[in-house]
Amino acid sequence: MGQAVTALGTINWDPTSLAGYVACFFLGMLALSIIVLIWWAPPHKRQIDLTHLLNEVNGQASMSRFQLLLFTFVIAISVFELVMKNGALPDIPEGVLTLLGISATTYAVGKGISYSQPQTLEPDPTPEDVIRAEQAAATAQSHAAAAQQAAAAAGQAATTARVAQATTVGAAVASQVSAAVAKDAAVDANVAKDVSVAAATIADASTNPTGGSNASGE
Amino acid sequence: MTPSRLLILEMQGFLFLMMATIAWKILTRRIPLSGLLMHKDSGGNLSPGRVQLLLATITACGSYLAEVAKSTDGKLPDVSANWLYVLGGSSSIYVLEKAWSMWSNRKGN
Repeated sequence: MGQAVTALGTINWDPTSLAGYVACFFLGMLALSIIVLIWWAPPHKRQIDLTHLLNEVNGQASMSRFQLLLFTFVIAISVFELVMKNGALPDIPEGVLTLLGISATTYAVGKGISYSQPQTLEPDPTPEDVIRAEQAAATAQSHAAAAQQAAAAAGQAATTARVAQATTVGAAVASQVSAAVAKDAAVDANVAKDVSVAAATIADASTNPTGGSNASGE
Repeated sequence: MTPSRLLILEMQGFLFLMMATIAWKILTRRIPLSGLLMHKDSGGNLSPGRVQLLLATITACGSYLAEVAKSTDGKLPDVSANWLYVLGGSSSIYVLEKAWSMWSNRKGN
C-alpha cells in the first residue's frame, strides 16, 4: 500500500486507514441524510419532522424537554471542544452524569404526571381546526340572521292577515247594520202608508157621513 | 488527512448544523415554544415553577460553558455540588408544582 497526495493532504492506503475512510464515508452520508431529510424533503413526505420536538402530547411546549435539549447540547459542545483540543475522548465527570440524570428524571416524572391527567393529553386545536370552527360559527350566524328575517316577515304577514280579517268582519257587520236599517225603513214606510190610508178613510168619512153609513150599511 | 481528522470535521459540521437547524426552527416558530412557561391546565396562567426552572437551566448552562472555555487541563470540568443542589431543587419545585396542579384539578373535578 502506498500514499496519495490530494488537496486534503496525504492519504494513506493501508488497510486500517482504508477502513477508517469507509467509516468516515458512512457516518458522513448518514449525517448528510439526516440534514437533507430535515430541510429538503417535501413537506407531505418529510421523514424527520422537528415540529413537535419540544411539544407535549397536547401540543404545548414542554419545559423538561427544553431543559434536556439545552443540557444535551451544552455537554455535546463541551465534549466536542475537548476532543478538538486533545484528539481523544475525555472522561465524563460524575457531576455531569448527575446533571444529565437530574434533567432526564425531571422529564420522565413530568411525563408520568402529564399522562396521569387525561384532560391535559387532549390535543389543543390546530390552526386548521380554529379556521373550520370560525367558518362554522359564521355560517351558523348567517343562518340565524336569515331565520330572524324570516320570522319578522312571517310576523308582518300574520299582522296583515289579522287586519284583513278584522276589516272583513267590520264590513259584514256594516252590511248587517245596513240591512237592518233598510228593514226598519221599509217597516216605517208601511206604517206611514197605513197611517195615510187611515187618515184618508177618516177624512172621507168626515166629509160624507151618509154615504159613509150607507156604505157601512150595505 | 487521517480518518480521525476527517471524522472530527464531519461530526463538527453535523453537530453545528443540527444546532443551527434547531435554533433556526425555534426562532422562526417552526418548533413552537408556545405555552413553555404557562400552566397546562389552569387557564394558561404564568407558572412560577417553570420560570425558575428555565432561569436555573440557562444560568447553569452558561456557567458550565464558561468553565469549559477556561479549562486548560484537557479534562471535562466537573459540575460543582452547589449547582447540582440548585438544579435538583429547581427540578423538584417544578415537578411538585405539576403534581400539585394535577391533585387540585382532580379535587376540583
